[in-house]
Amino acid sequence: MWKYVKMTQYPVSITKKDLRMAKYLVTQYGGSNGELAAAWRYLNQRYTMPDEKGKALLTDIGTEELAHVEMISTMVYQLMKDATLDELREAGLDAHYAEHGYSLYPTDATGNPFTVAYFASTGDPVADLSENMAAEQKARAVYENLINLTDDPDVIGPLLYLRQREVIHFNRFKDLYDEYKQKGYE
Amino acid sequence: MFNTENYFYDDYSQLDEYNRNAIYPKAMPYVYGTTNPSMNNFDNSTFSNTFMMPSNSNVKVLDPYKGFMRGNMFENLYDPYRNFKPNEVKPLSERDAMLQEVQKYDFALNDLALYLDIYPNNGEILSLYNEYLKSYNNAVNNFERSYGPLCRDSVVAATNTWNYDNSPWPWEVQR
Repeated sequence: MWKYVKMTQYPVSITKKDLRMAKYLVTQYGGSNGELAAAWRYLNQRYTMPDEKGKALLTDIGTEELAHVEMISTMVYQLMKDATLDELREAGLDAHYAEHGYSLYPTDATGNPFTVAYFASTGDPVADLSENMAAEQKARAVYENLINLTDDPDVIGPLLYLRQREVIHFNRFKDLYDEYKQKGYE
Repeated sequence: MFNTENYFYDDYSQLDEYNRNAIYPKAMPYVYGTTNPSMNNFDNSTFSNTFMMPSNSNVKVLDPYKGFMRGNMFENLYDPYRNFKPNEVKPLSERDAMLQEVQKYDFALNDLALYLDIYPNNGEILSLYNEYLKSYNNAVNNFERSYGPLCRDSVVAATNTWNYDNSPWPWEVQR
């Protein structure tokens, strides 16, 4: 089961409205390299990991990704807060407003809704772990693109933190991948 | 504020102090039981210190504050982006400072746990994990005594009034 703790994993407090950034950033919620895809990827793959190490690592990283979903959601919400209809129209978020108002909805930066087709779960631990390594690298690259698109330190801070988590997760998956290859798991 | 007299966690501070001095002399000092943790007046010279693992481990673990700001507890895995420095998040209120103590130790525990998932036999990392677990429990206890429960089943939730929804949600916090 999961328990809720009433805090974000890392402090998020954005006071400057930026609708264009909200529109880009939402891709790390509902896009192909986003945190929602990461969480469901690992939490689906964990059942067929061959040993305690794999089950523990995928459970713990999958859980952390849920905390990242909350961080990204918080950032998008705060960036859009108190926007006028004119501002939404100007930023191209009028279509989002038509369907969702000011609420959150997992899409990519161009508005495509989240789909589980973004991730795989093959039952083969070596194949799954190498997908995860690639996914962490792609998410790192997207965080770098997002950092390049803003100059607000309240946005850059959490993005640097989240980018660094991708680096750690990549290394942990790689450690386990190397061990499984050595042990001949497939 | 909350009647928790019968529910206090054990006071780990003396044991902690002993462990720190005996095993990890370079640990950043942390004063337990204070209501105003000194998050933002650390000394820059201690900021660059890393724990040197004493025996056969080649893993360098950062102190929890530095690791938390970087998003990475492991010196050898740190990979900065261009010339960006990690944010030094300044607490904007006493509540925020106490919450960041909780977040800091939660982060350290999480990152050490991912390591221990794969290397469960590293006793030094396990000792650090156990130490930070006590610090985390102390930080949670300090926060919740002043600002109410972080979890629905926190010990301070057992009062005559429903206090879980008394505090702001994470996305509403104006630090």
